[in-house]
Amino acid sequence: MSHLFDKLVHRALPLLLASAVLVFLRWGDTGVASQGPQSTTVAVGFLLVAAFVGGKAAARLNLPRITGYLVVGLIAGPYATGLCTQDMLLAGQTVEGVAVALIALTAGGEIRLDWVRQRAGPLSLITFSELIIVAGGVLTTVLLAQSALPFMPPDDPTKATVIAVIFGSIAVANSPTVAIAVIADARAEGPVTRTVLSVTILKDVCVIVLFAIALTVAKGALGDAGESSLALTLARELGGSIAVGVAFGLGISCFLRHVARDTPIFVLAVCLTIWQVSSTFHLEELLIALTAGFWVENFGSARGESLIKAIERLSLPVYALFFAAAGAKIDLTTMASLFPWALLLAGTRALCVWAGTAVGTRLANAEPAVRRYAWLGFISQAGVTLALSTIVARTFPEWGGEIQAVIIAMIAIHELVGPIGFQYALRQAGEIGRARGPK
Amino acid sequence: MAKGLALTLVLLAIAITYWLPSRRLRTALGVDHLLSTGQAFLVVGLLLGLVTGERPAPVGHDLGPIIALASGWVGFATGMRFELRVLRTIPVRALLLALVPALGAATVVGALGGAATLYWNGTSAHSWPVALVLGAAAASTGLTLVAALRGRRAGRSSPARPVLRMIEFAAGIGDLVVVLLALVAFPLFRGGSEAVGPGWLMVTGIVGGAVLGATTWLFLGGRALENERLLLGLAMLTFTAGFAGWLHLSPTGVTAVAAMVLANLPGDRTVQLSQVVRRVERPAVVILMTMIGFHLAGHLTCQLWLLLAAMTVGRIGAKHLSGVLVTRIGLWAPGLHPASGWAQGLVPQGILGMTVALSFFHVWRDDMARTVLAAVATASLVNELMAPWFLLRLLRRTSAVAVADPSMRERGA
Repeated sequence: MSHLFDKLVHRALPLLLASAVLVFLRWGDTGVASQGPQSTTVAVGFLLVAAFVGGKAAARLNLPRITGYLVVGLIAGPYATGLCTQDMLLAGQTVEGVAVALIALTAGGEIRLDWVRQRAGPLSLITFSELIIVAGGVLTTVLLAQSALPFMPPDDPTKATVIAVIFGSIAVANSPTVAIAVIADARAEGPVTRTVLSVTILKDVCVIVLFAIALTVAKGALGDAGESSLALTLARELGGSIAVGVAFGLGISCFLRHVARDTPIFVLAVCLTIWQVSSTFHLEELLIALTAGFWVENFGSARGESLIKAIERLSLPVYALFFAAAGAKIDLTTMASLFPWALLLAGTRALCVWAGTAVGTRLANAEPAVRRYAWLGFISQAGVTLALSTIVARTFPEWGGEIQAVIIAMIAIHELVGPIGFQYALRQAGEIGRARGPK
Repeated sequence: MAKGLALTLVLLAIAITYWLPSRRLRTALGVDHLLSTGQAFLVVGLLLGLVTGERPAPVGHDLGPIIALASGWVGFATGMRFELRVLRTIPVRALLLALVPALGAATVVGALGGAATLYWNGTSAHSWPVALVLGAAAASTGLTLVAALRGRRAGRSSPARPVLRMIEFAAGIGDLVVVLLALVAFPLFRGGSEAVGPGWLMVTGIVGGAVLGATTWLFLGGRALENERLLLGLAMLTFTAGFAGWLHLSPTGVTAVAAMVLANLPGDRTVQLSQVVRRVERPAVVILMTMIGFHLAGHLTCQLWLLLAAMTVGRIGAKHLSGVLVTRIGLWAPGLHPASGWAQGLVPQGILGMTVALSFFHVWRDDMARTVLAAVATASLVNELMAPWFLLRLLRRTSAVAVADPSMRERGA
């Protein structure tokens, strides 16, 4: 009873008060309501407290906190209650940029060279079988069902194949952001955790390559090819990202060794810079940050613990805000209209992920828990997939928008189901709470 | 691309200036004091503004949330220092003693600035806000130098300690004047185009700040880990700053009200929040200083020189004369010692008043507002450069008087 009272007085009541203030600002007839970015500050503050309360409520229901953050964002977002409008979520872009860099920095710091050396064979097998089966399965399904799918051109087989290839390559992607956030939230450690994390990261690198190839081939097939060749694009995006990542890694190592003051602020500044550099020079943010984290952990002159500690201090607000903002982007109307097709493709993808992981883990002779549960960690899709869908819409303006809408509906399903599935897998594998360090 | 490269270099300069590892190098460059107070970042920000050149309006708009948050942060840190149970123990005479220099400076500088604006623009619509903003900036006092002196030999002597305590106390009370002026000034800025009047906006700012302070207190009371509690506190700080920014009120003033309410509600829920807010105050100051410098790159009116004179000569003179006046009347309280010329210790300008000028610029966004901001920023640099001389002179004189008058030594002890 006292627990319920505590929740009511210290969570529900203040959240209600904050919501009331926001309602007053949004709909009060003050005549001074700011429509500009000033309102972003209000949205950030509100989403942070609401996401925190939502995350706690989700944890009470044995769900990942991320699900709570997403649901809160969805409710507060412009497509549901409209408490936060598109204008107010302008900061979402910055938060997204910083969060992706922060998450990739963490992931890079988690990869130890000796572990990768030991497990390179099994990890490659799992990744490879996933890539083949998921991309092939989704591509085939789209081609087979093309007469039923409303977004497929009925009389243009080339375009239909291009769309199928795009769906196939995007289906391979899953979200390192969600994987790392669920692992950090559950403080998980063990073979399933490590396998999911490593394969997710490997897949992400492969997806970037695969997608670049798919897009270049597609542009060539449709006669939209630009001047730059595939090799050049890949060399610039991958080689450039890795080189810049190493430079950031060197800088971070230098800082940790010689300064090591106000490290969380430094990490935040680094993430912001990585985001800015990647968007200015069209590089892969994820790869830059991943390389930087990997460099600090494995080749840096200073130990990466202080970096990880600084990241941990930032992770709670950044994750809460990132996922709440992601939830706010889920367009319920579009999702409802495309739901059957998105569900069909999401179901096919899930089946292929299961099959791909089963084949890969069997070939790699992985632990029983990995064979049984790891596939659930590969369901989530978020930031990278969203970015890829945006590229599709931008590259093929005539029909790309429609494809993007389907992909976004799929992402919404994966975003909501993925974290729940992964946490279930970690629980079943007995890996929750096994990570070192205090919570 | 060239602009991008230049921008990156300037950002790198900010990072290096912030994290400059060698204290010896800082001292050798002669920027140690200016780095501690954050004034060096004004120059870096100005450089950044010059590099980016002509900026479209959205760039300025995009910086709004950052400025609101950083100003709110400074206001919150200020507000958390005011605990009623401590203030109640202070005699009214001591409060008056501390209040007079801040009020004197605010009145003189505000009147000079307002009159100059009235003369130049010929309309009182501009002169009132200018007077209030300059008044707020003039009342503010920075304490970084005093804190630095406390660790040195000059500040550790027994005659110096009560003088420094007096300066710190007066600076704290001066902050109250700044908060009050900010709360009054922003609602008055707007003309008659809005659906609600200035009085309504003033009440909304104060009541809204108080409600959000109480809401933060409620959030902090629940069962949670320390880092979660911290997240809630900082999220509410952001929300409060955003609330003020939305209504075009002063984030500094509104968050200060919220923090005052929070600090005076029962329980010790705010200990960690207060520590973190103070720890991160320096990065907030660096951001604000950089932003102020960044906004100075643009057209300024010739009114600048007059406002600058008011903020330097007028402000120092007003503080000094007010200090002399209250000392002559014979006001003093136990533990505080208004040594002759003690108000010279109030020369450093501090960041609080500058945040008010910056928010003012963000609401008005015209050449006049930029000129006011430039006057306040340049004056802060000038005042900060003069402050060590004034303070050391004051402490030396106090020590000399103490040697001659043993009763004063006893009072200090």
